[in-house]
Amino acid sequence: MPSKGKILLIEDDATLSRMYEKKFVTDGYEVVTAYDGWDGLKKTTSAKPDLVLLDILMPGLDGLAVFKKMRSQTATFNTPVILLTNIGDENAIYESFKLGAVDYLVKSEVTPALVVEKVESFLAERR
Amino acid sequence: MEETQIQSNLEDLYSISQIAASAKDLPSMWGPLLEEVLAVLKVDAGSLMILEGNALVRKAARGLGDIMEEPPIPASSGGVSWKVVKSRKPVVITDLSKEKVASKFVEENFRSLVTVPMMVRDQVIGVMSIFTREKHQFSLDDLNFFAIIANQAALAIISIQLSEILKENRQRLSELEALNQVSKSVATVFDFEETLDSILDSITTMFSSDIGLVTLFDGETHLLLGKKPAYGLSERQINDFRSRTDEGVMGEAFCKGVPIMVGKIDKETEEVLKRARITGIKSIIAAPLKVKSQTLGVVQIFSSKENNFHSKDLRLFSILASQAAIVVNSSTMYREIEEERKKDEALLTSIGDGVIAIDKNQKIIHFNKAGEKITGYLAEELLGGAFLETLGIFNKEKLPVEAKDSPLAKILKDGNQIISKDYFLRKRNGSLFPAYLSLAAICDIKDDIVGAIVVFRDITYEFELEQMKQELISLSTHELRAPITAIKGYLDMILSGDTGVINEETKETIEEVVGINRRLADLVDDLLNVGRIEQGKITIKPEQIDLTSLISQTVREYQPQAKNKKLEIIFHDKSIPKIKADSVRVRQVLNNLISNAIKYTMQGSIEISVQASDKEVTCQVKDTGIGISKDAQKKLFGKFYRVKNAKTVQITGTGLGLWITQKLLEMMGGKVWLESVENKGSTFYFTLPVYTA
Repeated sequence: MPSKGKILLIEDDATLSRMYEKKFVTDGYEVVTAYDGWDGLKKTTSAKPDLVLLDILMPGLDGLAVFKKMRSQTATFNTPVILLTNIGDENAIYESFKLGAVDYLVKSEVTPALVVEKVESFLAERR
Repeated sequence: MEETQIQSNLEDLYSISQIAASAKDLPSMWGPLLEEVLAVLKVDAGSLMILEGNALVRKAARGLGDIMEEPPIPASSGGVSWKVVKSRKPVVITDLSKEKVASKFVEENFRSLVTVPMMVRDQVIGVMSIFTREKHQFSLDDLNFFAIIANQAALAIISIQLSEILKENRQRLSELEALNQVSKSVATVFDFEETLDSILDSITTMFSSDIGLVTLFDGETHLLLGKKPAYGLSERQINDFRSRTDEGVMGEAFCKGVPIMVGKIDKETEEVLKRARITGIKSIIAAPLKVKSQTLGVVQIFSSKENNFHSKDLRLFSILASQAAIVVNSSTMYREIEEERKKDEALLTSIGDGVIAIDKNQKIIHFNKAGEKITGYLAEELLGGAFLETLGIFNKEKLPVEAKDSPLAKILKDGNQIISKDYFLRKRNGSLFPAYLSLAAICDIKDDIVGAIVVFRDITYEFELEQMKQELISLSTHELRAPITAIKGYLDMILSGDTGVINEETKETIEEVVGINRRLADLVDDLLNVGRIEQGKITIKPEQIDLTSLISQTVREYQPQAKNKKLEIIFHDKSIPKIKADSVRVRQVLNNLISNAIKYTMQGSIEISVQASDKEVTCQVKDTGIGISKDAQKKLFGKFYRVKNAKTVQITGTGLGLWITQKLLEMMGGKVWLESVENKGSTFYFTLPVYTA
């Protein structure tokens, strides 16, 4: 089965990362993982993902900073980003949408299936 | 002057000093004092002004129309009164039409004016003026007498001021600096020993006696003890002078409260004198030192001649004694103030907190030892300088707070006590430290704010601890939530068949685990919320909110859960004004109340409705559940409280939801309460304020 798309998962928590990875792989995606902001940012250009799932609270460079840097370099200027995070903070939400986030999901409120669904419907629209 | 004239003048002076001795406070003294002066001088218009800061403030006026309503006279006015203050000499004007006068009324109605300074030692505390409608020539005697009266009045004023200062300032430590200031100024205008010395001196010479002495009643020993200064006695003799109150002439004068004169000394009195090695005394006059109803002691003069004193001396002597009484009384009070001050100062030095007193221009006027230790500044480096230029006040971002927004400006403006941990102060080496600040206003006798006391403590340690606590909390949020979320995700994947087909039994078991995991997630959320609320970490961002749309959304989210239990959620939507609240927190409140209603209702429905008044919106969540007993209702909003009975045994929860609900509502200016009947159902009400632009 050909890959449905390449997802870059930037998530510092290994347990969660493994879980989302498993779900996306099961559902036919190729998954690249990064465990901190700097590594994630590097992979946005090296791995050329179709979509980035981005956590906010991370050691080193946090998610919003990664997002801002992505928007300031041509290679990743248009790469779609879905925030997948623990904080339902209004400022973070506002900031994300201002940077052009596809969606803002709070991990404790969504099932992995829903995350996949969001990704799938976005990529489908794009094609 | 003839003797009768002197006698009459002295009696007038006596009556004026008596007004002071019997007045309760300053405001009740001005009027009678001025009236007495006018009566003595036989004129019907006059005024009394006191120097307050840079202005002369009218305290009493008679026969001068609405003059009391006119503003105080500033130093810059250069009028007659200020001329008197500056020159310290009386001014006589026989033709007012040729002079510049501050008051229109005076200008139109009067022809002559005398203004004299009210002096205590060489300091002017105010002026007294008298006015006549005709051109009037005042005799030199009149003028002298008026000047003496004014000084007598000044003495009386200072004496009352002292007693007021004492009364007012005993209460609060925060007024320390005010006290300090005033007592210093009093000390400079009033040298008690010298004043008393001169009174004793004039009395002894006036009555051609050999020895003059003041004895004061000592509360501890119940003896009359000799006090410095005395006339014609050595220091040791003064110290050794002791008399019981039931002994001799002095005791009699003290107990009876009247002056006593003896031409031939009795045995008992002789014994008293012998103790102080005073011999050869034949006649004595002794008069009580009385202030109001209190007798402070006795003033006495001795002569080696038999029958040295005459009965007419007795009256004069008692008048002079009453003057001495005022001085003695003021002196006693002054000493008490000094003692209070020293006690306060000792206290200030001993406490570990820094204490700064500032005046109303935010200049530092006091800085204690602990403050020196904390900041590295020496008091001398700070005194007289502006607080903001040295210690400064910095916000949490360590930026200087604007002068107008600083707590110093606030306390000096409204006087309301401020306690804060939100600011940083600067040490001498330039580094900033987080400070616990407590600010209290210093008020003067009239309750005007004249400065403030700033108590501060270095809370670097607490601050760091607090930051560590915060980090720990956010760490645990992350660390606890992540695995819970991961469990939830995996379970969801299993249930949706991602890992292969599962049978019904496995599915039921997994669903059980999903429930347990949700409980764990709720517990973590609740605990984090409690922590945040208790530490004041939850910030409310009030905005204009449509409550009904929030309710609709929440109801939609809970419909599936309700359907599982075959319950119906009904929202009676209705147009109501927008409310002022934080939408995230209102959502939390609604979640708590609706999820509780679902949890505790086995059958029936949950109805939500809203109502609005001018000021607030009331929302009610009504269920047909198991209800809550009266007893349990009282404890329902307590932390970790859960109703425990056979019916609730199956229902899980942390007992924190309603506590959080109540706290959040209170933070938004709302409240929550309930009505409930067991087995019938419960209705929870909450209110939130209507949004006003």
